Parts: sequence; C-alpha cells; structure tokens
Amino acid sequence: MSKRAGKAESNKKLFWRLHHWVGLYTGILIGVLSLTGAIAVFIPEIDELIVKHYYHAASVPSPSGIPQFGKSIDSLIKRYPDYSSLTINLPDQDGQTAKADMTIRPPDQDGLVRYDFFIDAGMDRIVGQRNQQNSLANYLRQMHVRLYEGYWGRQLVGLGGIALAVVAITGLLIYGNFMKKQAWPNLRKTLDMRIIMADWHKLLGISAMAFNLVIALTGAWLGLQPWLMRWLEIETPNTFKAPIVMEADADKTQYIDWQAVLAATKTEFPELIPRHLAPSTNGSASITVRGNIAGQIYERNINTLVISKSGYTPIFKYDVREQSFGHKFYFIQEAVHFGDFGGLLLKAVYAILGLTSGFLSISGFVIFLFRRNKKKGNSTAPTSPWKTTFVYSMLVLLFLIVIALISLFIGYTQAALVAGIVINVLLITLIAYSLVRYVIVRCRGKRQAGIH
Amino acid sequence: MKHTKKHYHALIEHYLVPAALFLLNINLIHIIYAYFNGSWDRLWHLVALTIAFAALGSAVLLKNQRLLWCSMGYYLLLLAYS
Repeated sequence: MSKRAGKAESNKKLFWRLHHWVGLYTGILIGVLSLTGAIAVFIPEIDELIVKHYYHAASVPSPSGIPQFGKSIDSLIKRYPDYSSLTINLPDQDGQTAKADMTIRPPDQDGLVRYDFFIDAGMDRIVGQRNQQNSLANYLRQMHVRLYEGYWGRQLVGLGGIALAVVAITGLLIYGNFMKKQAWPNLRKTLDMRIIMADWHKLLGISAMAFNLVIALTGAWLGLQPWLMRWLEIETPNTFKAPIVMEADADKTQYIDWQAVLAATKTEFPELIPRHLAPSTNGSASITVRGNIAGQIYERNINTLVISKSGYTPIFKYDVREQSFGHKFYFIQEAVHFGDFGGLLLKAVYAILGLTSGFLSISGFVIFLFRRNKKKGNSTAPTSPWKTTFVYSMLVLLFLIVIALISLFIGYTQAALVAGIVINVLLITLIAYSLVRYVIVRCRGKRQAGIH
Repeated sequence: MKHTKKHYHALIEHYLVPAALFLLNINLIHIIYAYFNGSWDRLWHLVALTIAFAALGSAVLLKNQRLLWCSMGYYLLLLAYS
C-alpha cells in the first residue's frame, strides 16, 4: 500500500470512529431534539388551536379592518397598575385574538407572573387569560431550546447541534466507503435487520444531508450563542434603548391612542407588518413596534420602529434589509432553523426532514447493538437490540410526557426543577461511565501489550 | 440468455449523486419559499427554480453524469445570480 493510500485509509478510519462515537454518545440528545423540533415548527398553529378550542377565545371581524384593543389594554393597566412589562401581540389572521402579554403581580400570589390576556380584536373586549409560562406553547419551545434545564440546557442543545454537524460531515466522508458497489437508492434484499437498518440509515442520511447540516449548524449557533458572543466579543444587533424622559410610573399610565400608533407605523415604515407593540415602562415614553417584511427570511419580528408616546413621531427605525451583512447573517439563523418563512407546506417539509435525524440516531443505535452482538458472537444475548432501543425510546417519551404534564398542570418552575435533576444526573452518569470505560480499555490494552 | 449488468460508476454513486441530493435539499426549501411568497412579478425566477428542481430530481434518478453536472451547475448559477 502506498503512503498516500495508507493515509487515506487511516483518515477514513478516523472519520468512521468519530461518526460512531459521537453518534453513540449524543444519539439520545439528537433524537429528542429531532422530535421536539419537528413539533416546535408548528408552535404558532398549535397555540392558535388551543386558544380557539380550549380557551374558546376568538375575534369577530373588526368594523374598520384594523384590530381594536385600546379599551381592553386600558382596563388591564387599571387592573394591574404595577405591571412590569406589556407586549401586545396582534393577530396574524382574521378570527384570531390579539394577546396582551403582561408581567404582573397577582394579588393572591407572591412574585411576578407572566399572563396572556386574549382580546377579541373586533369587539375590543377581554375574552380569556392564561399563565403564559405554563402553556403548551411555552413547554414545546423550552423543551426544544433548553431541554427545560435552566442552567446549561441551552448550551447542551448547542453541543447537540455540533454533534449532529460532526456526524453529518463524517457520514458524508465515509459514505462512498460504506456504499461500495451499492447504488442509491437501492436497498439490499435481506432479512438481516442490521443490513436493513444500515441501508435505510445510509439512504436517509445522504438524502437529507444538507438539511440536517443546516439545522445542526444553526442549532449549534443558537444554543451556544451566549457563550460564543462573549468569547468572540460579538455585540447583539438592534438593541436600541430610548432615552429616559419621565418618571417610570407616569410612563406606565400615559394614555396611548393605539390606532394612531398603527397609523404612524404605516406612514413611517410602510413595508412593516406590525406584530408586537410594546409600550415603555421605564420612563422613555416610547412604543416599540416590531414586525416582519413580507418575503424576507429573517428572524420573526426583528424589524423595529420606536415612536414617542407624545405625538407618535419616530425615534428609531431598524429595517433589516438596510443593515450590514453581519446583522443579516445574525438574524437569518433562527428563521432558517425553524423554517417559518414559507407557510405550512415548508413547515411540513421541515418537520419531515427534521425527523430524519431522529430516525438516524435510532437506526444508528440499532446497527451498533446488532454489530456488538455479532462481534461478541453472542446471538443469544439477554436483551435484543430492538428491546434495548424500545426501552430507551420509551424512557425518552416518558421524560417528555412527565415534564409536559408537570409544566401544564403544576407549574413551569417545578417542571424545570425535575428536568434539571434528570438531565444533570444523566449527564454526570454519562461522563463518569465514559471515563471509567476509557480507563478500563486503556488498562486492558496495556496489560495485553505486557503479555505479548 | 443475455445478461445485461448495469455498470457501476463510483464517481456518480459516491460523489455526484450525494452532491446533487445536497443541492436538491436546498432547492426544495428555496422553491417552496419562492412559491409561498408569490414573487409572480419575477415569473422567470419561479420558472427557472422549477426547471432546476426538475433537472436535479431527474438527474438523481437517471444518474446521467452530464445531466448531474449540468443541473448542479445550473442551480449554482441560479443561486449566485438571483
């Protein structure tokens, strides 16, 4: 064998080892993120269905065609004068309610609680409310974004993204070696489950390669963003703060003509489709209008217009189309990751392609177990690969369901506590197991070398 | 009896088909986005994207080397200039 061929062979072995070990140790994480991500792309649609059918909150058509919510907002401010933040989420479609997302101090509870108040945007009246943190939409988002773990859950998800990128790239590099004379998309005719799973693993892996790589890289960035931004000294774009001009209490209770705000937005930023309106509570006497521009692939609600409460004149405007490449690149990550720029069809494609990484982690694990049994010559192993895979999958589902039930029926804080304990115990166990296994293998290797 | 065994082409199977599938993934998302946002004023762009999708899809299925190269080059040019 020539020196060059030898090096190529050694590289392939290294790629295969990386694919094998990274996949094995992070497979469960990738599987969980794949499943939760496939559901997470539909969060707005799921939430709207819940608001409509569970809370029976809907809007009648507005006589003027513009959402009406001013009286409802005034009544909420009177009811909770010491609220600490307020954001009005405008309906996306006719029939949907406007939502006042308010952080308040309920009389019967200690501490601040974030509430959603549903407003009939045709009749301008409050038709329902819920604790925002305990909602299913919040569960779905928090589980995908940080596994419901408050300390380093987000970073773990980011590391999951890096792991998926590593297995995708190494998978591509060893693809030819593993296909040998097999043609895409042929599956070998056999009853050997290891071969069947291996064929499907290769077929789906290579077919959804680009998608999984994009999801992996954007997911890694979104998860590790706080650390990366600190290390690389990247400043968050679009963080304008209006100057303080009055007392905070006076600012909170200042009257706002919301129809005038929407009219000013249309004049100052005609392409903006306003979705979030946030009046200031810190004394800056301003209203931040956030929204989208049709046809743009950027993070939702990132275009901004800040206007003054007195006179409704513009203070600041952020049109992402006019920003530098750095800003555009920064704000494209989330949109590309969640696929919310092409309607329901694109979301469905995202969900289907997103599930492939879950299938790949399961099929990879099954192949590993079959291969291990074969290597040991142990055809009568106490547990079959299918049983082991089934038990792991059920445990993952049980974790997701239990946390969902605690979050929905007891509370977000309690769910986060349980999830934190489970995840950290598993993490410590996994690291300890890997270290012990590494030491044992090294010692065994040295002993065998000594014998020979 | 005459056996007709299809010749296995490693360059196509190991490199060109994965590369075309890679671009087909991107093209699929691109085409849905373009149709959803209805840039009908740029009809040529929608037509060009649809042709790219059809070309890449058929190239992957037919595994014709020239078609694979051409469809990938065409879509890359379309990405660069649109």
